[in-house]
Amino acid sequence: MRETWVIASNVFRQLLRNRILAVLSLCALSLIGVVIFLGDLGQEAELRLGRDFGLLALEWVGFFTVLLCHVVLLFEETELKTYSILLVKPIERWQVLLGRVLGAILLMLMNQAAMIVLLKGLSIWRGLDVVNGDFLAAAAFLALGGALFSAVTAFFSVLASSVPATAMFATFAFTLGHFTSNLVEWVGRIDSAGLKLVVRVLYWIMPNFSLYNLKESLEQVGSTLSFTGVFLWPVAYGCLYGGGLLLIALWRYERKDF
Amino acid sequence: MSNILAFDNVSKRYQSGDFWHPLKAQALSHVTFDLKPGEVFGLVGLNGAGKSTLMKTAVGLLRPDEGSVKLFGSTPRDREARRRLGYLPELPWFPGYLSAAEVLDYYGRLHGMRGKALKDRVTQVLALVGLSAAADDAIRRYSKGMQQRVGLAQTLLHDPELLFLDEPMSGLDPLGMKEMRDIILAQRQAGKSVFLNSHVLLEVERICDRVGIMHRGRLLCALPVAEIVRGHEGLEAAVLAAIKEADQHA
Repeated sequence: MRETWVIASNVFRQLLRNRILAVLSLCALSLIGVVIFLGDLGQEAELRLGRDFGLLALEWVGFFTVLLCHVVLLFEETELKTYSILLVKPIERWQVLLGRVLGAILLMLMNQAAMIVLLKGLSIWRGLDVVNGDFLAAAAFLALGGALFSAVTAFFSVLASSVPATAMFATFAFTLGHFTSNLVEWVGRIDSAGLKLVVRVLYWIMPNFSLYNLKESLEQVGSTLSFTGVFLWPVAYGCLYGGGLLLIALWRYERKDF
Repeated sequence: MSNILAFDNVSKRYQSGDFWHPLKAQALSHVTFDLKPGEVFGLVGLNGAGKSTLMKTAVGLLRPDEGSVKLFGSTPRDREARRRLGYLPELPWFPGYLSAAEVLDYYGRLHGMRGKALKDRVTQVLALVGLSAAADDAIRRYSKGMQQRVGLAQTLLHDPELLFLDEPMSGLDPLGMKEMRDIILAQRQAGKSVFLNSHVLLEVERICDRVGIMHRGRLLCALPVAEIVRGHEGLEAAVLAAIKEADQHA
């Protein structure tokens, strides 16, 4: 595991110093700054908007950070051939793949943590309780979803092997993955057997990111989340689904020519 | 003496064409040869002859479709075998925002080196390739030749027994070429083996013990330099003659 950590920390350090991701981090912090302009609303509305907007910003910044990380790494691998040096070192390919996934997650966590700290500061200044325990729980779930998305993007980056295809498939999976629970409802309303089958297949193969969205549970100001039965399943699902995808990606990566 | 690298009837085909019209291009065709300890072996040939493919197959970046490759008696994907080799790809690229010292620190840690020993070795290798003064500068400020030296430094960092150098003279000025030649010869002096690909035939003739000529994926011959140039005015003439003869027999 030592080599995996060396690779992950190098990926993190390298991405941290990449200009595109530095700009993204600045955008993330500016996004949180928008909360300042919500001040003219009533306090209850301001609180709700602060929470919703904060969580939405965390989710989107997580998505863009992870996507950009994998795209940058894939570009370096395919176009700049950096991996021809790395893969000849005395390391296993699974360590390279896992290092990429972990490095992207580390950067996402750093971005999200910085956003939460800024939001906390702004909410104290505004005299609001935006960043409370529920908010942090919802943010932690979004981070879990982001970690799963890192595995999904790594999977596509290995299978597609091209930057545009990886970005397109990962974005598609992320978008559709938020509606997988709706797919079950749609199946009941569809008449065509063929379409029903397609939707059912999509339901089973698409990642279910809606499991990590606790925003709706926070709709009522002051609500307290009940974690019984809510916490374990998304974590287990993330481990199983993400682990399964990484195993398939690794199987392909082991056989890939560079 | 046992061979440290052995190719036995190795063939490799590449996917070419596009999605709708997939084609297979023969990159290596039944290549058989070996490399002995302490030997400097040069592979020459025209562009697209299969030299880089052969080298990538030797270091485990490509898997042969047919035949077998043995590296230190094992497969090139074996971790212990890879611990004993150093590889300089053609035109190596490193992130522009890192310095040469940072790049070497990273690769050194992947070889299990740590702390003061790693720091001292990085300083030593940077001095060897003439980059001490620019060790902490961002690589984006480096010339092509300096980047090639960073590539060579990472190849030598862990003091490997076998060096694979793909176009090591690429991007180097005459002084850089001389320094590269001196480093390769010093490696041979130290009992290390070197496998290199190059278009700079004069340097190959000066450095190598044995030369292989590749053409259209086939290894036409692998002989001592003196034997190859016999009856020709230097290696260039010998290589061109061998290629012409191969084309006539094709």
